[in-house]
Formats: sequence, C-alpha cells, structure tokens
Amino acid sequence: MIKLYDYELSVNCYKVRLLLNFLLVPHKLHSIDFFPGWEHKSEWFREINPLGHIPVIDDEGFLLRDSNAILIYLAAKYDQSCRWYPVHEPSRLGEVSQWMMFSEGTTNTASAARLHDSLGYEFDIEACREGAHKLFRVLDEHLWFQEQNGSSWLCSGDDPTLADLVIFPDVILSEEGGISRVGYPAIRRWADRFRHLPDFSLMAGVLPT
Amino acid sequence: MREQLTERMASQWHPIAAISDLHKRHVFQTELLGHELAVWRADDGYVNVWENRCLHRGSRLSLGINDGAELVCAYHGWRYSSRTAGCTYIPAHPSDAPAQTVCNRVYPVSLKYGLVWAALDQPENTPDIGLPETAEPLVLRSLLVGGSVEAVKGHLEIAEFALPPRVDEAGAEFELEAHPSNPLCYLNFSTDDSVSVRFILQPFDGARTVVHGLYGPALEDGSRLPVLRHYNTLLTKFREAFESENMVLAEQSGEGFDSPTSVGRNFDSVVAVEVEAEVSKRWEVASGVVGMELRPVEGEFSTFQPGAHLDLHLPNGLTRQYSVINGPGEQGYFQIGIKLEEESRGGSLFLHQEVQEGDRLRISGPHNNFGLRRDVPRTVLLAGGIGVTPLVAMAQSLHRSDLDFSLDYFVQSKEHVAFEERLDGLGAHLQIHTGLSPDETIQIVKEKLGAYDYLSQVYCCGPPPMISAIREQALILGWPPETVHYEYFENQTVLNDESIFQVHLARSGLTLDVESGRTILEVLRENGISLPSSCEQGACGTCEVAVLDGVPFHQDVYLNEAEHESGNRIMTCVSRSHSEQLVLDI
Repeated sequence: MIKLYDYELSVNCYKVRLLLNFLLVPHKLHSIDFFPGWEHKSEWFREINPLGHIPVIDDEGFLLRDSNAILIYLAAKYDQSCRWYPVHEPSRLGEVSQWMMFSEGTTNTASAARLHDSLGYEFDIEACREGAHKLFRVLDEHLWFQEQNGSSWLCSGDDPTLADLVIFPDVILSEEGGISRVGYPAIRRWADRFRHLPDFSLMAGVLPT
Repeated sequence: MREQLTERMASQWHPIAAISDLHKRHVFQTELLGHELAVWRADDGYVNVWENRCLHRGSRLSLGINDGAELVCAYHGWRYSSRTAGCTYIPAHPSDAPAQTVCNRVYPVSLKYGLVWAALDQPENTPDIGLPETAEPLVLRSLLVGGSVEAVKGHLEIAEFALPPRVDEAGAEFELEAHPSNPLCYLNFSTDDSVSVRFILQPFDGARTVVHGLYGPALEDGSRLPVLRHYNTLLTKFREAFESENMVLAEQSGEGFDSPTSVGRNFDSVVAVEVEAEVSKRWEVASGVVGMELRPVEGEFSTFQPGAHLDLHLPNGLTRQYSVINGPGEQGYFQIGIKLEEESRGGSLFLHQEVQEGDRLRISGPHNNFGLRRDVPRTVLLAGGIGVTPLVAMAQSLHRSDLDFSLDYFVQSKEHVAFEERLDGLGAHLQIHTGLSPDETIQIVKEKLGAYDYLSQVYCCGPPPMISAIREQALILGWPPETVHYEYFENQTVLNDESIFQVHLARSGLTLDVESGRTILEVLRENGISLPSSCEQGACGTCEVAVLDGVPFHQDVYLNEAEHESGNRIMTCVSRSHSEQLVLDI
C-alpha cells in the first residue's frame, strides 16, 4: 500500500491526499511532526528526502518527493480514465503543465503568506500578499472567460485536471494568509465547483460548500 | 463633503454584481460603502442581499452553505431563511424555535439590466442609468479597482475608451461623459448612436471601487466574446494605469467610510401582535378542506419554522389556530389548510362559507411550540387527517436537508388527501394509508416506530385518540418521552375551574387571587401582566409559565406525563393549583 509522509496542515500534502481520495487509491498516512517538531528536518527523514521536505510517497519501495511529481506519477499509474493528467492529448497536457507551473507561483506567494501568519515563517509578507493578488487577478480573469465559454475548469474540456487540483489548496486557504478573495468572484465560484466534486476531501481550514 | 456624499449614496441604487454571478447554490461576496454583503439566490429565484455576518459569532455568511432555501453558517450551523433572513434553526438548541428577534439585516434589492442593484437605505425610485426599462444589455466583466470612488471617477472622466473596432470604424466619441442624473454612471456612444456603453461605479469601501459595464444593444451569441475581451482589456489597462499612479493594489483597503455601526438585527420585521392579512388565494385542497394563502397587507410576516401555527382572529370574535404548511425559505406569505369541522362552532364554518379571495383577516403569530429537530438521523412523522398540516412543513424541511425521515399519512379515502402537490415531491419518504381501522392504523404505527434507536424522534398530529394511541405505543416500544412530540388541535379534557387559590409572582412581587370560574391567564392580564397566548384551551403551549413552588393542577394536553409530574411548568389558560398558592416565575 502507498505510504504518504504527511502533515495535516501542509498544502502540498493536501494536494496528494486530494488525488489519492479522488482516485480511491488505498493508502496510509505517516504523520510527520512538521510543527513544532521539525521532524522533516530530522536525520531519519533526511535519509528519505535529503531536501527535508514533505510530501514524500513510498509506493511499495518506490520513493518520490515533490507534490507535482507525486501527482503526475499517481495520475499516470492509477487514473485509468486519464482524466486528471491527459497524457494522450498534447494540447490539454500542455495546458495542465502550464497551470502546474503557475501553481509554483501561488504556493510561493499565497501559501507562503499563510506559513508566515500561522507558523511564523520569516517571509516578506507584503510581497507575498501582493504577489498572490497579481496571480489571483490572472486566475480570476481566465476563469471568468472560461465560464463565458461554458467551461468550468482551468483547462479546456469537461473535466477538472491536476491544474485545478494543485491551485485549489493555495486559493482556498489564502485567507489564512490575509489574502481576501472578495474581488475574485470567478475564483470563488470555481472553488465551489471543485468542492462539489465526488470524493472531494476536506482539510483543516477548508469548509464544505 | 465626504459625509454628505456618503449619505447621498446610501439611499441610491448601486450595482453590486451581475445577475449571472449568482450561480445556483453559490454565495457571492462583496461590499457596498464599507458594508460587507452576502448575496445569494434561492432556488425559487429570489435574490437575497444580507449583511455578511452571522448573528451568532459574527462569521461571514459568504463562507456558508446556500441550500437553495436557507443560508447555513459554516461555523455553528445557524440557519437563516431566504427573504426574511430570520433564523430558523440553532443546532445547539435543537428543540427550540429561535426568537423572532434573531433576524439578519436585509438590504433593498432590485434586478435590472442584468445587474443586481442594492442600497443601504430604501431608495425612492428604481435604478436609473438612462436605459429603457426593457433593455437587456450585455454585462461586461466588472473589475475591483484599488481607489476610492471619487478617485476612480476622476480618472474615468479623462479616460479614452475606444469602442470595439468593428462597431465604429468611422470613429467614435472616445471620451466618457457622466450621466446627468446618476453621477456614478459614465456613458460612451458610437457616432451614430447605435451602440452605447455604460460604466457604473460601485462604491465598495473607502479605498476600493468596482467598475461595472453594460454594452448595448444586445448581441448575438457568437459576437459577444470579442466585445467582452475588448472591454476587459481596456478596463484592465485603466486599472493598471490608475493603480500605478496611485501606488496601490486593490487589496490595500482601509479608511474612508465609517464602519457599519449596526450588527444587523432587524427588529422592524418582527410581527409582535395582530396584523392584517389578505387572502391572496383560496382553493379546494381535498374533500372538506380549503387551502388559503395569506399575504401581509403591510410590511412583512415574520419568519416561521416548520411546525409553527398562526392564530386567525375572525370577525365573529372567534380565534382559531392553523399550522403553516410552507416549505423552507417560502416566506412572504403563509399557506394553511382548513378542514370544515362537522360540529363547527363557527370557526371553520365561517372560513369555509364567508371568506373569499381578496378578503382580509387579522392574524397573529407564527408561534412555534412544536419545534422540529434537524440534527437526527431518523425522524418518524405520523399524520392523521388534517393533522398532516404541521408535518407537511416538517417533511419539506427534512427533505431539503437530506435527512432521513418517513411520513405516514392516514386518511379516510383518496379524496381526503390534502396538499398533494407538496407531498408529491417527497418521493419514497411518503406513504399514504387510506380507510384503515384504528387497530390497523396502530399496527402500522408499531412497525414504523420499531424499537427505539438512539437519537430517533417521532412527531405526530391528528385526532386526539390517535395521538394518545401513538404515545402509548411509543412508550411500550421504549421511546423516551422527550423523543415523542405531538400537537393536539384541541383539548378534550372536561375542564374543572372550581378551585380557589393564590398566585404569587416571584419577579413582580404581586400576589393575586384566582377565584372559581376564572383562569390564571385572565387574572394576570387584568393586573397588567401581558403574557402571550394562542389557543387558550391547553393545547398549543404558548401561555406556558415556569412554576417555582406549589403543586399545579394540570388540565392541558401540551405537556407530557413526565412534565406534568415534575410540576415546574404550567399552562396558565386552563391549569390551576392543588396547593393554596402557586409561585410563578414572572
């Protein structure tokens, strides 16, 4: 069975939990005392991931780190429908990759602001928030025009993809970093739609809708 | 200057969203003049604009759940009804109806030109931006800009917005002009006047403004997108230029308008005493049963909860109680079912024979002493004849909340089935039983109840012998008395009013004599103590008072045996005292 080295409050771990639950893949969680224990920096954990980051998965001995890498692996291996990561559709695959790159930005701004506010990380909080708002404006505009085109998700097609899944956690927890979503109506509606997906899972701070 | 502007703007209509922003079951979040708003559309199409704050702990309601009829706070589950914003349910007090005063602030709303308009104070007229009433312009993407409404106005006045290239190749008026009667609206026309564009400013708070745009005339499906893109690009550029000059991003909000002072309890809408209602609809519901829809002649009715009843004060001096059959979120009118009683003393007979559509009746309430728990895994509803009315409201509520329940409805014949149009929606939860004998009825009741499961609740209403038989069965099957809820329409007890005793009122210090032939309620009222009452025959529970000392002589059918034995509550309309004195907590 897949083992996920996990921390409940981590957005990157949440991304992996979301996909495991969407795909109904049996798994067990190994909880890491990220805060205040810094267990991810411990000697034993650095043998699993020398970078000292979570999440990491262990799939019957196959170790993989970095949430985006883990998600691609899990989708390619366990999603028979190729819905979440459309490997056979080049243009959609390109779109998914584009937004997965974009999510690096939202994680480094919106989710960084959250780490600053809730776990005391020393980041330039104003820069984080301003950066997040710039990205949210791009996201809201894109989603608004997607709605005009009759599309519910970030990429073309009828189904959500890893693009939606990786950006959703940064967005839905942004208020914990002092970033209001009041000016982003299309983002707020998209977040509703994502939470209504079958087998969607919650985490602390994410409310059902 | 600022104050005057704010004051003037408070009683003006402002666009706060596009109607298309209000997706099904979504809660839209915005602000108007510094007031945070939660905007949501119920499944019946009604658009609610409320203060974005739960009356419990102040959490934003925009984080909550729109269930299509009620808005549920995400934090502790307080529910608020569409239209009135009155609280219908508090999970921490599952058996009690919330007080009528627990009512959120609602703002005036108008839907026009594809936009949702709201105001802080009721404006005198309708939204006016110089468009024909029936115009249906294309709603552009609105943008939140980081600047006060005055600052954004100043920049719009000098902005040059080109019309989309294909529309006006001959060249257009690039400059915007302010609308003569609405200083927050800017116009832009093509040279031949065939196309007009309007930008309307929403004063968001002291440092932020939303720019809404309308493009007319309406366009074909295929040609909308280029126009939407064109104006989105223009407005985005406008915002960038404005903000870089003003060194702000939209988020840096802050001062300017005074913070809202009220945490919106809306006492105005609370109906305390009798109000006048008009019979807006009257129809045959079933054999011998007339349905009536009542609408307020002035103002609004207060919020009802499932199980609530109204008092109808008839011109012939009689007062009668009827349960509200509305479903959740169905506010603004009440529907009731009136059965013609064979031995009518003038109540149902009068309503059946004399009252027509358009007539007016005096009503009070709603009262709710038959509260529904909305937190249990299994609810059994048992209805006999016209006793179905409160249970129709309950069933619709449970159904909406996806809670498991069954409604068994016992009637004489198919012709006696009332409110079929509402019952049809209940699907497999409903079973109708026709023409059963009392023994056959109780056999089914036994099966439905089964042995008591943790947290199950049963609610029954019907002829008194049926309620008594159900209560007896429930007791035999191990249902604790507090899980068995019932409502008698009448008290068939032969009342004894001979005893003479005193009541001492612990709070006001008065001691009053109750002579034979008088009731406690009458004596209290004669001495200036106002107490709500409704049926005045010991059935509805409205005139209940707590007893601190003494032994009550109960003659009501509202309290159950355990409650009678405990002796700490009394129905002042019929019950008396075994002891020489009763000490009441009033």
